[in-house]
Amino acid sequence: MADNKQNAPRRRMGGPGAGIVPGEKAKNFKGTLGKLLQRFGKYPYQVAFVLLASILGTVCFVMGPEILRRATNLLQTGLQAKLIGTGEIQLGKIGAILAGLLAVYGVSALMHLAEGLIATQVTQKLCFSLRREISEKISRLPMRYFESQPIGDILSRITNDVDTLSQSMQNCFTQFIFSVTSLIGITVMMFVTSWQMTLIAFALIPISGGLIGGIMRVSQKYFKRQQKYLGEINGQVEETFAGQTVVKLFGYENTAMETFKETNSSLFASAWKSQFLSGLMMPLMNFVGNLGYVGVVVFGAVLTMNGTLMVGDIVAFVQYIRNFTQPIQQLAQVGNQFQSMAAAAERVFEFLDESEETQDALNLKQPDELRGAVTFDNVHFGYLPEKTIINSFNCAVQPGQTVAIVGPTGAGKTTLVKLLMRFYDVDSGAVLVDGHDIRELPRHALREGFGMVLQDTWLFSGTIMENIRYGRLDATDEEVVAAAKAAHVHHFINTLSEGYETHLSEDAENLSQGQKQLLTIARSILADRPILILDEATSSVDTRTEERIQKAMRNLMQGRTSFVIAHRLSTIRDADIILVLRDGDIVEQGNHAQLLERDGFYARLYNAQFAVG
Amino acid sequence: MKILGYLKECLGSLVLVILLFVLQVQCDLAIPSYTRDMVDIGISQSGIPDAVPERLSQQTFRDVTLLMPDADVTVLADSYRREDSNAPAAVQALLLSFPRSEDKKGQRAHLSEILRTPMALLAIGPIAERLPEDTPAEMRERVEAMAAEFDITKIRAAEAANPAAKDEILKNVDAEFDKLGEFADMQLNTYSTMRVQMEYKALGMDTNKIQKDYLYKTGGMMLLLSLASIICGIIVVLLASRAAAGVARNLRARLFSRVLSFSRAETDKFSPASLVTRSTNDIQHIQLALVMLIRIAIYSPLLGAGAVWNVLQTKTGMSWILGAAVGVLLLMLIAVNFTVIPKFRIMQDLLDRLNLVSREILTGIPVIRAFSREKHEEKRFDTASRSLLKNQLFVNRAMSTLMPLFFFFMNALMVTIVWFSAKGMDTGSIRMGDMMAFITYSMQIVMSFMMLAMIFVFLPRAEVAAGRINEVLATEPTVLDPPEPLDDVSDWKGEIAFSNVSFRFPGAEENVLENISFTAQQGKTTAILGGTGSGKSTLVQLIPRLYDVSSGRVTIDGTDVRDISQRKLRSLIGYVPQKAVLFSGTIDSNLRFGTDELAQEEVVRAARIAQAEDFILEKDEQYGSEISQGGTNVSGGQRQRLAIARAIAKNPKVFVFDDSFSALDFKTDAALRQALHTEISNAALIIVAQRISTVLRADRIIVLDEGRMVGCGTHEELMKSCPAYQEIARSQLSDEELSKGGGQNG
Repeated sequence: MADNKQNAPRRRMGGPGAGIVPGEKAKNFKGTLGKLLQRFGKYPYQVAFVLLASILGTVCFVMGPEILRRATNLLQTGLQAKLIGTGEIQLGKIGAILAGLLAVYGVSALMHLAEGLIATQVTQKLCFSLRREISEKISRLPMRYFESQPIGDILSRITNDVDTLSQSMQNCFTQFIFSVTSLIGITVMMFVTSWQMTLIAFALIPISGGLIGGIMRVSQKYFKRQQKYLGEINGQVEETFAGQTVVKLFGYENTAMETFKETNSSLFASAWKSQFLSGLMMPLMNFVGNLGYVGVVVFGAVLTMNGTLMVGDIVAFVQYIRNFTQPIQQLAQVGNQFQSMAAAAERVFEFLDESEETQDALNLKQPDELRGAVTFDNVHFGYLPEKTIINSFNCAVQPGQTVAIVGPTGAGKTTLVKLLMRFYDVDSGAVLVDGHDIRELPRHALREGFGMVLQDTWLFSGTIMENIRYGRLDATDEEVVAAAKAAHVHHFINTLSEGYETHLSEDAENLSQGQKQLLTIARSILADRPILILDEATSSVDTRTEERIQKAMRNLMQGRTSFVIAHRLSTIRDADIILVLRDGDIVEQGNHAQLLERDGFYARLYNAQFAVG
Repeated sequence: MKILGYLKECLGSLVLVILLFVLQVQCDLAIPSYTRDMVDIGISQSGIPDAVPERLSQQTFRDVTLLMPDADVTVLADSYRREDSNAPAAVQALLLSFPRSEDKKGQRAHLSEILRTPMALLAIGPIAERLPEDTPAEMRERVEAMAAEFDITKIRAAEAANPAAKDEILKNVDAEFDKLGEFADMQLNTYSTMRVQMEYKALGMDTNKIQKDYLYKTGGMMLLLSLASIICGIIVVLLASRAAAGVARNLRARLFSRVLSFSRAETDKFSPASLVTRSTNDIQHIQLALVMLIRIAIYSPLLGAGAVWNVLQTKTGMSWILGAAVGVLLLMLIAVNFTVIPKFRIMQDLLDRLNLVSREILTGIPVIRAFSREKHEEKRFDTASRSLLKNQLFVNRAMSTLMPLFFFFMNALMVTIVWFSAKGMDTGSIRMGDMMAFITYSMQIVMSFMMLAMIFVFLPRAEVAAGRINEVLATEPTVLDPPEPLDDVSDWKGEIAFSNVSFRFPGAEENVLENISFTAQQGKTTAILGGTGSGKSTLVQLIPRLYDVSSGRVTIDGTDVRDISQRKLRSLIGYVPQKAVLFSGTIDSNLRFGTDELAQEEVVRAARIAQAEDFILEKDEQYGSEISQGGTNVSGGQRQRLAIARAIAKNPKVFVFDDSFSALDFKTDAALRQALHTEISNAALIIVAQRISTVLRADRIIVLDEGRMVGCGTHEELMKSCPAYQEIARSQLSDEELSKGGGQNG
């Protein structure tokens, strides 16, 4: 209940702290809300029905006490007469009124029920379609976006933000309608019953408004502070636990504990204060409620003395007063929820509005099967427009040749690969595959020419079979097994208790790095593409597995054009073309012997390994 | 329940909270009974509580005595005295001799009992004279008949003639009221209080003021009670917030220090991410749950029980309605528990699933695009998204159904109460105020029931959190300091020796290391070579006691490492782990990590040896450059060099490089090893490596295979004698390179 994120408080059930936690604020509140409302416009009938049902339901809800008042007044006069001995209680009439009242409450419940069901349908469908749009958007965004944006941030838009929306949208809109309608309805009914007592009720507005506002303002301060210290604690804990071994090895435990204790007590101070202040809301609002109650009962009683009022009026008023403070409180909470909803919606819309990859023109020709000839023709490229890193690069690769890309750490060895796969477009010049400028090929047709094995092995949660088959979705089981055999991983898979049906857990923790790499190689073998991109970095793999990987890669490279980000000297030596990179640019190219002869950067790099230290 | 265990820490506050709640509940329960008085006495009886008039004329006094048994007359006479006034005695009124505040042993109640029937009889006459116009004829006749029968003038005359006539009259009175049956009691109250009011009016008292005074006084009491209730409430919130936040603080500190005391054997059981979640989110959950628990779990049952008690006290004969209501509510809750709650529980799983798929898509974008599998991934996402949608629809629909249903239930309950109250009033068993009080009590009972039910919704989650926290707290560190550490050796040299060391992970079936013996001498380089899973990292982790050996011993200068305090032992060792970890701060603070009193030259020297000086000096702030958490703002190679520099700065007796050079390119690797070789001559160097080029020049190479030592010697010796070493060498170097490396070395 108090945990807003998980279980946003339902209507009329606000607990301590509910809706009080300050949310992030949207930068453009109105615009975002407008966009959100536009989406609701797709369901005009449903929205109209929800509005209507909500208003009708609330009107019935508000009428209840008024009808009850009639029954009670009848009861009161009857009883009074009976006590004096001058009349009887009209049970029949009272019964009829009560039956009518029950019916009215029934209608109110039915209306709210229907409203809730339809509102649920609309908001959840809306969130579902938002999620779908996001997932489709991911496919259309340029690579650049993912390399500049932390994954956690995008992830939180897809899940947390949409979740916040789904939790708060329905609440916000239905609660808003309910609160406003019932405020109006109750005010009218109160005036009808007794204007004198209505004034008492109105006296409560500034009191409760002031209390709610005051508490919210002060407690938000502490909530923010708590949030800040929570973040700090989070950082400290994360850092210390991640580096726990180092902390111990360097005898840093005591210092770490001291720092932690300091933040911890700051957190304690802000935690109990925010908890306390938000917890005050309930007793204080109860008190205001009681104040109204006592006021109504006392002054109501005084008014009965001269016959202005009857007991039934007081009973009705007590109910109105109870229901009167609630919508005020709810409106305050809804206001806050609106804020966090708008902030979440804004982040989602921001993502959906990101500029997309230039789409393929429709009239692009479908190439015949690619053979694998690659030409870089006077290529210039830079990640930032003002910073070109590749300058006039020319290189022609024949089908079946192996290209080794070498260079020190951080020299930008993957840039060439990204250009080749058209994750980025060249600034000038052209990359040609089989003589076609790759910008004139449909993206999927181009990419279907490539197989890829990266250092960061990517496997998804699913069976081993599914993961290998990812290379070619229509491959038979036999073909998958054949690919696994070619990748020297078949034997290992068979040692697993469930073989090919073994389910890989999140991050495939049940496999070693080397085994994961073998699986991705099998995937690429299965894909059977004319051009290969391989990343050889296998630093965390033991020698035997490495040997297996090497064999598997050699199997894979057979007869294909291969671009290898090379670390192994044997690969480099055997390559047809070696591209030497330094600070992003290609500084030398040629084969091993040619480059050694030139005695330039490559030669220095090569010799460095054996310059004994 | 585990979460209740935490409450032990704040037992004092808890006792106080319970006391305050008892007080608050009393206030909250008293308020409806004042409402009842307000309606039944304040309004219906015009503020006159009973049949006892505060003032009484002598005539009325005499009339009353005519209508009561003689024993009662004595009591009455004792209760009233002449008003002390200057008026002539004959017209003086009588004054009640004890004010209401001095009512002891129900004196007034007894008096009211005595006076009720006579006062009621005296009221009939005046009432009959002023019957409303619209009174049905039949009723008018009855009242007038009664008035005629009990005409006071006739009674005065009859009794004056014959004192024994009193018995006859009293008998008639009983008979008359018997006819009314149950209703008699209420009617007597009404008539008698009306007569009291008439008496006041006759005496010239302001009856309006009396009524208003009663209303204000009762209202004032209600306000006072509300005030008392809110004060209790506020103090409880204060105590609960402090207690819960205090428990959270202590838990966090305990968890943190417990994790710090763990050795690798214990941390291996928990992933760092899960430890972070445990010490932040989980504890936050517990804090919230505790506040709720303290505030609701104590208050609600108290209030509910009190309300039930009060309802039973009212004897309205409607308790069965409440029983039925609670029964229906229970059925509703049980139904919800079996249908909705399970769906609530799987909601998190479905969200996690969607999260997982999204993360996989986002991390795999290059691969997905390379294989043109965008549509495939969208479908995968859609499946997860759709099952979430289904569940959300179900849960939200259920909630949308439950809320109106619940409110209808509450309203129906109220309508039912009003209906049966109307019937009850008809038979004279209850009055208006009773009904209002009953409604209030019913709502209190139903609400406290709902609140309690809500605890059962959020408590399981806090229980899970508590379980996860207790799991960590219950894990005992296995690497402990000796009771009497042998730290007082002034001159440590740093010779590390393994003798017959075997090691197996806790709970494992096989040894990871089997019978390892070797010595790493001061000033020499000892290399440990082997594939992944050969146990080489584990081996060096035994030196600073990240794990303890299972058998055999590891010694430093002949002293078992387990006989030295961990602090001392680790101060002698400069350890560079496989994965470089930096801490937020500056480059300088990272290099001085754990050794504050270091001279600046030492720091610079360390950076130079570690080949870190160049890139540090390139930065604007140089040694003062900011390092972000985990060192993510420097490259992998730079991070590794800083980690190496940090170990060098410590000036240890033993260096352990656990495969620390792999993130470095060949050139830096070579320069670094060169610098280490020349600058550090007095320490023992232990290097774990996979690349054979890293270890070519070591004074001794230890070859590990599946936890066994399969070779030990220099490169040349091993090339001749050790097949495993030869295999590794061949796979990594060409013959030419082998001879080149070997040649330079030899």
